Amino acid sequence: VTWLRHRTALALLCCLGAWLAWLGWLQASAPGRLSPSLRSALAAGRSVGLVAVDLGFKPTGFQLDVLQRFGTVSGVRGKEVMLADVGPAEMWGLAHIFWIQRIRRG
Amino acid sequence: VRRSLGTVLGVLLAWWLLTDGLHLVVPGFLPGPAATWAAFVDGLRNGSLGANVGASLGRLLLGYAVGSALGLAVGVAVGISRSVGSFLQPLLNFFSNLAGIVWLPIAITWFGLGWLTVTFILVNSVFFVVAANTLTGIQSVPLTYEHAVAVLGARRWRIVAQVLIPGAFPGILSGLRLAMAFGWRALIVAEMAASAVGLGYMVYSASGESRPDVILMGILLIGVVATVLDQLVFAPLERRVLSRWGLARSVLES
Repeated sequence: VTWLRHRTALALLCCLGAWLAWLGWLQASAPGRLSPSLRSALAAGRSVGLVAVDLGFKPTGFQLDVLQRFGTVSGVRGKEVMLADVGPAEMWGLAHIFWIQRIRRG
Repeated sequence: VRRSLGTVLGVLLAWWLLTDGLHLVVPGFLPGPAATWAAFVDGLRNGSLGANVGASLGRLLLGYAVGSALGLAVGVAVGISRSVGSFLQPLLNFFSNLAGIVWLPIAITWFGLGWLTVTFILVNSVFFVVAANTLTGIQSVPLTYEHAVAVLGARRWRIVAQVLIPGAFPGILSGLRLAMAFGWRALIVAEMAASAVGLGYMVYSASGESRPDVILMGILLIGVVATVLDQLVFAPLERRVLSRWGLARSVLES
């Protein structure tokens, strides 16, 4: 246990703790990013079709590249990206992205 | 630390005076600290900065681990025999003096644009520096030490493990430290040319989008990451190794 008192070990433990806290926050905040109607559709296992992903800022190439991995980007309206063909698993994946503010039906 | 902090504050003040303070330089040429900080915060909020820094650090970790492990193995293997070591040392020195980035055109020809090219450039930059410094370290161990231990009945592997490698530690560590700096620079340039993610890509693509604030933020971040890695990991490690196996305290503190 004495090695835990070492500065390097403490720093590494702090980093690990911060990382776990970050993952915990992502997990806890994910349902809040989905609109109630999307949440109920997902719970019932229904297909959701087109969704609007609100970023809270104008999307750049980076965000469009990332979103393209979860479905088909079909357009941009202001700060929202329209995404088609998003399955339930992908929807939960989207909800875990920290820079997404809200996801609702398109 | 206090002196470094003073230097940083002085540079920040001069930068602010040139740009936001006295408006001597137009923002399109050199953005001020406020715009650069805003680009940093924007990058954090929209996720692009985390993804780019993560990609570069991940590549660095992987490429550095592979390159330094290979370099150490080859340096020790070659250094065990004095004649083979003397024969190969000019070759290793030649390649370690070549900047890793000169391999970029041929790497693109071999592997195309993508992670393989970037990894090759990084591993290449790290490998030769570590191998050459390990070999130099082993060759710097006086022959009389080897003979003395051999006279006492030690086998060859024991001489390597208990005399040559510990004696070469200062050289090995210098090589590892240098290789980190060389590898980081090579990685950034390789990302500019052959990648779609990473700090190098971020800086280069910001140039196409006329975003000097993002470019400057990226440049500063590249420097900060390199400095943090060097000062937090290598400087203390080198001090400890040199005080245990190497030079006098006065040299260390100079």
